[in-house]
Amino acid sequence: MSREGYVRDLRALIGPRPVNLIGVAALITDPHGQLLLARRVNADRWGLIAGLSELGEALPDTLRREVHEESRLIVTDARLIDLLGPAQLSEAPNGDQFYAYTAAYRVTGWHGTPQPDGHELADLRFFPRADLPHLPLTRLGRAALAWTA
Amino acid sequence: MDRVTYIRDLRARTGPMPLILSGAWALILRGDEVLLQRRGDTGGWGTPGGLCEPGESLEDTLLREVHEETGLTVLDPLLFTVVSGPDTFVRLPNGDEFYQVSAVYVVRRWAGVPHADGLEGTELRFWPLDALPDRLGPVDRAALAQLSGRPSAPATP
Repeated sequence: MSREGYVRDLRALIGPRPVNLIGVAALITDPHGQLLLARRVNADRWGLIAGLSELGEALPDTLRREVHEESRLIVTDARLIDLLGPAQLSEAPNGDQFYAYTAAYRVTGWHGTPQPDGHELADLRFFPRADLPHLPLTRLGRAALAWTA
Repeated sequence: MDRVTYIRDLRARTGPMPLILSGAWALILRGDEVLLQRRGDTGGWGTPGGLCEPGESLEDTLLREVHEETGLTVLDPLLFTVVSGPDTFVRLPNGDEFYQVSAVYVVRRWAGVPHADGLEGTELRFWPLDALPDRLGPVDRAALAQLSGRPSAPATP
């Protein structure tokens, strides 16, 4: 969470108490229809590139920024496919509690070679969709299965 | 914890600093007309809707707010667009500042007859999409422009 100035400023004032936070998730496929999945540092489940909005940032800009920060990929085109409300109260490793609202985008245009940033993401890989049901998935990973069904 | 308590508790700690708040709004459509309410606080017109309570789903927010403000029961909301970014900035009369991330739903089926709650909204009326009132808020303006296939026009003072 190194770049998240808004959340850092907010937490300095409100502490760990529950708060609604808003962000994006990126559904990225390669020309073979394989899905780009991300594994966060110290996590064993696979999910999507995702991150929280900064103050005054439009969601498509959050998408481009987060995808670039976490994978080095450049997003050139994307469309909103879903807006997920929070499934339950989440808790960060440091104890901060939050409800996540996530705008999911299908990235329809991108270029570059995915490289995990090493800070937030430990691993980043394209998987054939048929492999997904056999992987440990996060909620967003499971949602990606449904969006590509 | 209800919404008023959530925002009030948050503001007790943050003061007026800008926050990002999520919410849901309804474009309640009857033919080529959209239902707007006259706001009790500013006197301007806007779509029914409001901010999410802690952890509340966007559809639940939509159903709750529309029911509170109009008495209508929304039957099949369709996610139309999400409005976010610098143009959604609001400074309330009390100085509190926030940016909005607003899920805007199209509603073509509902139950009940529109009835203003007299508090948040003082009047409800269907407006022709090509003859909307002035002084719409930034989220309404963006969503209604998108509905009409027009680019969002800048704010008129």
